[in-house]
Amino acid sequence: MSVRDFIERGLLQGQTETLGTGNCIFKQGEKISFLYLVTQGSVTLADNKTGIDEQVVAPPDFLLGITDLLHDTYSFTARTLEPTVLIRLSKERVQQALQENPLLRLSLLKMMSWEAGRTQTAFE
Amino acid sequence: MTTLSETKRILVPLDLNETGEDLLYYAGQLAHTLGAELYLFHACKTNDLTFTQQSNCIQKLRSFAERVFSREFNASKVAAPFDCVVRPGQISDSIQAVVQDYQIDLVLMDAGTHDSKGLTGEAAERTAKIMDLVSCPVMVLPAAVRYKKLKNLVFATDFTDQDQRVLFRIADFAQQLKARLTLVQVYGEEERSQLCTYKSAMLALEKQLKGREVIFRLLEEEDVLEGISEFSEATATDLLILATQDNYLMERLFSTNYMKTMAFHTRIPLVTYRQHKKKPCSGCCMNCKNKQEQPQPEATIQ
Repeated sequence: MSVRDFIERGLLQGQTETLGTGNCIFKQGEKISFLYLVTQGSVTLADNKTGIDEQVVAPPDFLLGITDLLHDTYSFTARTLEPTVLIRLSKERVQQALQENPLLRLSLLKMMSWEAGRTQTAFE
Repeated sequence: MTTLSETKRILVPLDLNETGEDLLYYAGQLAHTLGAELYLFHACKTNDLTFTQQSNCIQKLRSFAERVFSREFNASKVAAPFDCVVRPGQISDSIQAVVQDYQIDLVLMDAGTHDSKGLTGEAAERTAKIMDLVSCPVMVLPAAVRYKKLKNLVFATDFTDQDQRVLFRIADFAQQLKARLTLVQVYGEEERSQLCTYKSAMLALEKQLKGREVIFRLLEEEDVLEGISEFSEATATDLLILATQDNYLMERLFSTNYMKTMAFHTRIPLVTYRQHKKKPCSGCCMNCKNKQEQPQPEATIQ
């Protein structure tokens, strides 16, 4: 089951937002208050702290910010590459849903492993 | 045949503090009376704004408005519908674009914080700047003024220098508020010889506004502002309206050195409409000076 399924079934509530090209969704170091599920379009993720000039395009149905769920601030900057549709989820709501639903936990763990894999590739 | 121009969208630039609460309460009442929608506008004073910061700010603004409305209005009397607009920088940086994007009909703002003598110079300057920036009418509230039904509107004007479009917008606004509108012209002693011209212009306006609840007055007074101020006090004016192309009069109205205008700092809200004037203004502001400096076409005798 994907995060989108959880939203469609009403187990996670969020607001749909549409952004134009080049909009900054959040900046590295900014306080985390929302996670974003990209439903249409594409988003580039950039890490300016490591000094690695690297930009990654988030895969479809990726929940932006999930890798920083246990942090206070975002660890990368997210920017739209084209007109993009997102579902905005509050961090507190996601944390609460995680406590309540093991299937959601599993789905989010998969996403986090994608992020871990991405970091490894960057260092190779 | 003219159609009624309605005030449907009111923009309220506000800070999330006590002054903002008073302004919001007033805005809720005014929008309720007019049947208008509110657009609450907050400038975050940061250089830029990510989508996340914007969402956070909108959430704060929304909770602030909901808190004020739930406290000030009882459940049976619902405040006006509202939307929130958040931009980076200062209000003056983006108000022009916001007014255009949201097709705003009226900007409602507070005149700023007061010191013991009246408005602070900074607040007066800020208010005059906003009035200068936007094309729609701007309503300025004296600090801490509470809403009271606007029944008696006074439009201080020159009967011989009118823009019909602006005149009808003002008359429509009064009609929408179900208020009485008084058009008043203040003239000086040296203008007595032109009284006949003023009276015929007044009669022409009376004809144009036939069928509406409008009263016309001509007053002799040395100083225009003093005349307007005294008239407003004597007639228990709820709202003063001006139509001008520059902010010279506003600066004088908001000047703390001018005691005669204190009512506008403490009691009477003010609305300004943008109108290009044919005549130069009494203060000979920059606009008029520039106009006078432009070479006039030479008259030729055939």
